[in-house]
Amino acid sequence: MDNQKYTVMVVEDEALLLQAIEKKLRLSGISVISCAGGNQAIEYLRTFQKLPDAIWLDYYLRDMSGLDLVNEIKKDEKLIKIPIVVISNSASENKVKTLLALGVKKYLLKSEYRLDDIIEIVRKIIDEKGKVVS
Amino acid sequence: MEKIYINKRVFIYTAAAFFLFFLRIVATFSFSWFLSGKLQEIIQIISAVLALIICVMALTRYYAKKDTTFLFIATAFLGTFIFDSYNAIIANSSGGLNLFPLPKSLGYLSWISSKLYLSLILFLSWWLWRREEKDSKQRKISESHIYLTSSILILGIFIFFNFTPLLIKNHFIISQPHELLELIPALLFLLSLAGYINKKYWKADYFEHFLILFIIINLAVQTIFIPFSTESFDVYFYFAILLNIVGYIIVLIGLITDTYKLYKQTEQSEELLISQNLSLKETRIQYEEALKNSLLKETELSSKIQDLENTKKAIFNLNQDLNEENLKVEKAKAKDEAFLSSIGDGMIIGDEEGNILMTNDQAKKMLDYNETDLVGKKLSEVIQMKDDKGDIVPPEKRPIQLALSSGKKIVNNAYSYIRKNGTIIPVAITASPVILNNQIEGTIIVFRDIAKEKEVDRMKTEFISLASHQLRTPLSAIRWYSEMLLDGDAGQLNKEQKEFTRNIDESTKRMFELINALLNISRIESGRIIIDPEPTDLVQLVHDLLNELKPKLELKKQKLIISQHENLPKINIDPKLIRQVYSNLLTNAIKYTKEEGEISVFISKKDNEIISQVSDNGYGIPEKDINKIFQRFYRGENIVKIETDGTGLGLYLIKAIIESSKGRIWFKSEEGKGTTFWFSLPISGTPPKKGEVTIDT
Repeated sequence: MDNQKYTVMVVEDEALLLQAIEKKLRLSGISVISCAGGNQAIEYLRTFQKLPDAIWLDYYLRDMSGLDLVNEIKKDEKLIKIPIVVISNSASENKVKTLLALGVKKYLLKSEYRLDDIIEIVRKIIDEKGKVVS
Repeated sequence: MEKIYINKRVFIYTAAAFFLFFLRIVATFSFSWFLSGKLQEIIQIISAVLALIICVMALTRYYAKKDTTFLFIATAFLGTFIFDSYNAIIANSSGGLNLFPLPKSLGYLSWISSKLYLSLILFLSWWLWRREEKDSKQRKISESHIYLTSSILILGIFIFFNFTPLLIKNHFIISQPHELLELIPALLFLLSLAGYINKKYWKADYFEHFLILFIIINLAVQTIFIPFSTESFDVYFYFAILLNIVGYIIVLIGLITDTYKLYKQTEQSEELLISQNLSLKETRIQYEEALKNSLLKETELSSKIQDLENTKKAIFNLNQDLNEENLKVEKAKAKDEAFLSSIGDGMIIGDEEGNILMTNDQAKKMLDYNETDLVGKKLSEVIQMKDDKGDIVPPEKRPIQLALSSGKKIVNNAYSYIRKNGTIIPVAITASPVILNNQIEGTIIVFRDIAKEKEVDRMKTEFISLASHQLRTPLSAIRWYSEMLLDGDAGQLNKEQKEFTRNIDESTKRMFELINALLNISRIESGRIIIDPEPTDLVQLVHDLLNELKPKLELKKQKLIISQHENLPKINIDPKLIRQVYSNLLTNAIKYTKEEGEISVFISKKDNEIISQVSDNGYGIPEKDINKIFQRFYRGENIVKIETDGTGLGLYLIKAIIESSKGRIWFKSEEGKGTTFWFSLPISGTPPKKGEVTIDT
């Protein structure tokens, strides 16, 4: 298990943030699939056989909302089990409720967490999923 | 009856005629019957006296009641009296008494003169009557004319028969036969008879009836007696003078009867007059009484009329006043209507059943309906309404119906009217019941188009959320990169580099807090915040919060004591909002109290409120700043030097939350000794409020 390298898809339209996340995940020993937009993410997920172990999703994207992307993923049988963590700048109650109901594992506020903390949360989620699978 | 009466009179005439013929026959057989001259003389005197009586009576009768016939009779008998007197004198002279010696030969001429005169007057009287009857324009024969004519006739005849025959006698023999001469008066009598019978007065008049009998007798005397008298004082002559007297008596009877009748008539008419007078008097009395009554009534009536007039005047005045008032009211009404129609908001006035009574121009313009579409109809039937989800609002839930059924003012900002052309118009509605004498008389609905407001709101919400997002994104980048620097992800930093980077990180955190606080304030101020109350145990709420605060407390080695009244009820409040209040107050207390300081929370119940008390023994608030602490961006002068971290928005936000939760907040502080904050919440709780945002970050 330890030797197995996790892969996380990061969907974040802010280049600087994407860069920071990517760097930090790599330093933490996690493979990264970087997507600058929702469509790019969907395209990747539909094209490639190797799926990420989790998706790190920013809520506000330029081409679509996080909600739209989650809906797309949850529609697809093949993708439905990939855990999603939404990390956003704002969180209204309704929005959080809706996303959690759709199967999103966690909803985190960027401002409240250090990168380290978020990476720990994501790793834990993947671990839990792995346990369930095995 | 009348006919029989007339027939009786005709019979009398006939009988008289027959009787006269019979007398003539008798006379024929008694030609040897002679009467002495003395008796004849007495008879002559009697006849003269009778003639005079008749004359006087006729005159009296004439003057009693003027009828020309009687005047003629009077003059006729006046003449007859003169001639008969003269005849008597002659008879006397020819034997008998022999008072006046006159030539005997004139004896029979005195008879004829008398008869001629009588017959002439009778004929004249009829002829003049006839003339008048035929032509009423003819001048009436006056009294003096009659007197004059008769006097001339008397004189003429007297002179002619007494003196002319004397002359003639000497020269001509005219004495034999004198019988033909006697027929002249006979002819005149006949004409008079025919005339008087033709006059027909005899049918009703007593006198004329007797007059006709008299004429018949005279006619008979002149035709069948006198002409046969060959000698004076023979049997025919005696019959003649006797019949003459009978004639006079008959005229006299006629006169008396007539006069009696006249008297009777007068008496009767007098009686009638008296009775009429009496009844007139009665009528007069009655009339007077009636007049008196009517006068009384008139007085009454006039007073009543006066009353009526006064009333009329009063009514007129009242009417005038009313008209004036009406004018005023109408002016006021027109003014009111002008005011109403000038209201910038739409307005609909409905009756107690929700039927539209009137609308103003703005309402019609906004709803795209005209007057006839609306007035008299139920609002809910004409104009549909949609709620914020786009569903049709049922009539019983429309503001107008709610206002009518509850009697309270209904305010709604969430509905839209559907206009005539199908488009929708979001409106803010105030439906107020019109209450008069505790009874709902109708409703007034005032509404305005809030499409623009809604749009602005939407834009504002969008702006705030986008702005917060956009602000946070670079902040997140700063924060994460400084984090990586501090972690040595880009190589180890020296001590000073680390310190600087940490400062960047701290400032970034403050920036985050500032943005969060500003967002929350804008949400609360805009009134769009959702208040979602639920039964909450406040003590439990504080305990939950404690876990978050523990690191800070431990860091400053401070003590926190939580205490409460027993059996505190759960109250209906929005826990998220109130949690924010405790959080801010406790964070402040921790922040502005020295290390090892003491902080306490005490929750108690007083009257209808739950009162929370948060105390510290910290730096306190300078006295001069006491009035400023709830202002935006206020930070105590004393603490800015000690504690750089702080937005100056915490207390402002708390106050806004508590006030929107129907509570109060107050404090007591002494610089250097500590501060105590209290805030109250009603036990009845906070009413829920629909909104658009929560206090989430």
